[in-house]
Formats: sequence, structure tokens, C-alpha cells
Amino acid sequence: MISTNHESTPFSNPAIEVEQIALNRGHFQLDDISLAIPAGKLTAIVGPNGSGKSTLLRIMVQLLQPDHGMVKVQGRPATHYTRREWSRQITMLPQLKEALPQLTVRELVAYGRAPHKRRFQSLHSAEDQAIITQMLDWTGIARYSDRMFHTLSGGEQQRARIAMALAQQTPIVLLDEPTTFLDIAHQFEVMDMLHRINRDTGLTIVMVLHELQQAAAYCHHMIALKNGRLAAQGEPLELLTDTFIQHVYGMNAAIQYEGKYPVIVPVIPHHSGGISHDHRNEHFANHQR
Amino acid sequence: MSKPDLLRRSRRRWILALVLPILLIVVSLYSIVDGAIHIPFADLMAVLSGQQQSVYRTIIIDLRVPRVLVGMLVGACLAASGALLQGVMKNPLADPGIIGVSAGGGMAAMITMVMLPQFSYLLPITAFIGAFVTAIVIYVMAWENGASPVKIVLAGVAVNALLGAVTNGIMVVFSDRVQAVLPWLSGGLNGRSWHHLEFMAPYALIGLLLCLFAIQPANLLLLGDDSARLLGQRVELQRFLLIMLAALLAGAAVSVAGLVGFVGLVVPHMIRLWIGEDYRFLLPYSMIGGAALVVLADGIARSWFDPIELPVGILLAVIGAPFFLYLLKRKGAVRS
Repeated sequence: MISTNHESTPFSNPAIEVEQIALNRGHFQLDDISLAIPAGKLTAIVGPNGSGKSTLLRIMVQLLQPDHGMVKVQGRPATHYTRREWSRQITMLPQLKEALPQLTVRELVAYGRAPHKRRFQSLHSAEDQAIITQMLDWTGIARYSDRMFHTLSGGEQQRARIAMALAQQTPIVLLDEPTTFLDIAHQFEVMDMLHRINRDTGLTIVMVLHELQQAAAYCHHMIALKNGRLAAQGEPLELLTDTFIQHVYGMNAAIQYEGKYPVIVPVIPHHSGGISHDHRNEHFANHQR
Repeated sequence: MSKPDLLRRSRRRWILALVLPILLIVVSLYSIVDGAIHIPFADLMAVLSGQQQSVYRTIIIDLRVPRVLVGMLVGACLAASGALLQGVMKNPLADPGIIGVSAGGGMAAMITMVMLPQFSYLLPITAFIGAFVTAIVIYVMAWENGASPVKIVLAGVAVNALLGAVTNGIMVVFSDRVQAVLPWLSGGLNGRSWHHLEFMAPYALIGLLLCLFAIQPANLLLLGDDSARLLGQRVELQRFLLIMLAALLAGAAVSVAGLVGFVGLVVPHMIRLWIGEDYRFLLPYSMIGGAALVVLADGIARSWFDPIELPVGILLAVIGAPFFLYLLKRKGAVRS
């Protein structure tokens, strides 16, 4: 394993500690994973497809119970929390798979208040309303609050869903691939927004990301999985090397920097018929005609 | 179109909040007035306000009024049951009639009436048990991350066929006693009177009141199981309790009206199209809409085909079955 931290005590007060987690569900497999998530920081979980990133996230938030090992949140075993305490401590934004009911943006965000209400209470208190409004502001979608969720663009929908998770007011929020289906401008919008919220509020954010460059540029801590095992963890800009790419993704690449922003440049072997520059230009020229 | 979305919907909520109760009153008056014997409106008003003895008094008080009240409760229960099942099974085709929940209640009620007639005062309870067991069987068979529409319809077909066979078998074996239950079996409100109302109303009213507690869990389940869990909900328990409530409602309706289908499908669907899926509105609006539909259909079935009184279940099937086919066909209404 590659690590830039000294292994024994990575952080003074970790938000989440994962201790020797193992899980075997056929194609979902995790093997002896121990790690810690720093409090008040942005942490990225990266790795190839099928490496167990989402599974790890689901275990951290107790949507899945591991076969072995345990998860601690704020130093306390996850299983010792009541359901209600848990939903006020940590939440996750799942990947957008299920169709949501037809709701306005504000109605969707209001769902996040559920753990703070009395049982069967369906009206929102003035405090709830204020928090909902605040989250709409933070995520920059206040002007869409009365629009139907499904009429928004992908980036706006994602921000609305993030606003709902934030309205839950948990000190820890996990996000499963918050940028995956967004175009590049919306990806940066969401990353900027999360970065700003983390900086302003000290919210602990953990997210599964595919885009390594963004992960390294925006996050304070990075965890890499490969085949259900921990492959690397540490400070992203130190971690992101050609050895790392080779080790985790099995790919030859060089890392260059544009200012502080890392750029991964794939090394394309000449004999394998990679795209030549001439061809590429022709391709573009054809498209523009 | 930012403002209009919300405005249109909240305006519709207000309009329906006024229109539905008025509609219910109008169709109730119609259903009391119309029939084999037509009652002049003046006489109706006189009798209802208790001013004067009328020749129509017996017909109104002893026959028509209780029948309308039973119809209201049956319609409200079936519509609420359908609205709940659709949410819980995440399936727009979940209707107590289509997926066999009513048939389960019907078979249990039939068994009670034919084989254990001394316990027939327990009919709503046995119908509830039958409906509940059937609902759980279908849920277990069709469930896989949400009950897929295809699976649930297939399961419903199979369960309906099985329950129909058993019911027919009982009718053959106990043919001497079946005469007494035939009117019940055809699914109608013929001859339903105060006695029937007294006997089902407690169960129906308890079920309808319990719907108040179903609003929040049903709304949260709409978000999907993962999100509901992350918001601190006990998803499995809540789904179980909501199915139980839907079965109680269907059982109460079946115990007095027999097999009346499609109310639970048509009404919540129309309401949902108009005002959205929020159960705070969907449940009460569906109840009133279901009550109005059954009372209206019963009035029509009773008087338009004179001298025959058509059971209301038949008329509702004639309206409801094409609607069901339309839903199956409509793009996007059914996601598998």
C-alpha cells in the first residue's frame, strides 16, 4: 500500500474510523479495510470500476452491514447509535438511479428535515423553513425553489439533492459519485460548491469520485481502492504520481501540473496505433464543416 | 415556467378541496333521489330536515340513505387502500382488486359466511386477515428492489385465479348455503342497510383515521428505500404496517360490498395527475373522490338499467378495465 501518512495515527480526531472491514457478497467484495476519515475535511474515494468504492460508502453509513470489522463515527461504534441519532449524525447521497416523485425543489429539500421532526409530524416548523431556505441559498438554487425537480438540468438536480442532504444537518455527509453524469462545467460547479461549504462550515465530506484530477485538486485526503482492498491513502497531491496510477489503475501515465492543478497525461505506446495528432485534427476539421 | 408549476398545483389543490366535497354531496343527493321510485326533491328536503311525514320517508331513511353511506365508506376505503398500495409497492398498477388483495379478503369472507355462519359478525376481521395474507404473499413474490409492474400483475393474475378457483369450489361444495351469499358475491350495494353500515363502519373509520399516521412514512418511501433509511426510517417495518393498513381498508370494503374493483386504481391516479404525489393531499382527496365515484356509479347502476339493478361492481369494471389498459399502454406511467 502506498501511504503518505505515518500509519499508526493518521488524524487526531477522525470523523469516521473503519476497522478491518470485510464483506463478501459475490461480486461485492471488500477485504480487510482499515482507514480513517479526517474530520472537517474533503475526502475523495477513488479507484477503478468495481473496486468497492460505493460498497465502502454504504457500509460507512450502515446501509450495508459488514461480515467482519466495525465502523466508528466520532469515536463511537456505529451500531451503538439509535436510528434517529444516526440520521442526525451522518447521511449519504446515493447515486441518482431511482426516479424521484414529482416534487418541487423546495419540497424535495424539505425531506431532509425528517430526522428532526417528531414522529408523524408532517408540517414544517419555522426553524425547518429557515434551514431549507438556507440550504437552497448555499447550493445556489434558491431561484428554482418552486420549480418541479424533474424540469431542472442535471447539474441543478444534483445541487438540489445535495441541498436535501445538507438540510439533514449532519456533521458528516457522504456523496456517491456526485459529478459522474454532469458535463465538465457542472462538475466544477458542484466541486466548487462543496469546497466552499466545507471551508465555511467545517462539514466533513466524503465522496466517491472518478475524476482523479478534480479529486486531487479539491480534496484534502484521498483513499484509493483496488479489487476491494485499500490500495493507497494520503494527501492527494503527494499521492498522485505515475507509480500510483500504475499501481491502482494499471495504466501508464505521467502527471503534469498546470499551476497547482494536476493533469494526467496518458502515455500512448507508438506501435499500438494510438491516435496521431494529424488524425485528430482531421477529425475535428470534419466535424466543423 | 418556474412559478406556474407550483402555482398551478396549489391552485388545483384549493379547487379540488372545494369541488370534491361538493361533488360528493351532489352525487349523494342524486343517488338518494334516483332509482326504481323517483323521489321529488321537495319531499327529499322535507324528509331530511325531519319536518313532515312523507310517503317516501321509508324509502329514503331505510333504504337509500344507508346505502349511500355504505357506498361512501366502501369507496373511501378502496381508494385509500389503492393509494397506499401504489406507494408501498412503488407500482402504479397496485389496486386491491387487480393484485388479488380484495379476492383474498373475499375468499376469507366467503369461507366465514358459508362454513362458519355463526361467526359472520366477524366478517370484516376475517376479510382483513384474508386480504392481508394475500397482500403479503404478493409482496414477497413480486418484490425485488420495488415490485416490478410486470411481476405484480402476473402475481395478481395467479393469485386471483387461485382464489377464484377456491371460491368456486366452496360454492359447489356448499351449494345449499350459497343462495344466501350470492348478492354479496356479485359485488354490489343492493339491499345494504343500517345493519350493514353499523357492522363495517367501525373498521372502515378506524382504517381511514389510521391513514393520518401513514402520511409521513408513505411520503418518505416515495424517495426510495435507501433515502428513507438515511432519513432515519424503519423501512421494512413501515412497509409492513402500511400493507396491513391497506388490507384493513380493503377488508372493510369487501366485507360489506363484496368484490368491487378498480376504484383503488382509477381514483388515486386521477388525483395524483392533478395534485401530485404528496400523501398529505393524495390520501384525503382520494377518499372523497372514491366515495363520490362509488355513490355515483351505484346510483347509475341502480336506475339506468331499469328494471334490472346492475351490481355497482360490474359498472365500475366497465369503466375501470379500459382505464387499466390505458395505464398499461401509456408511456412512462409504468416503469419496469
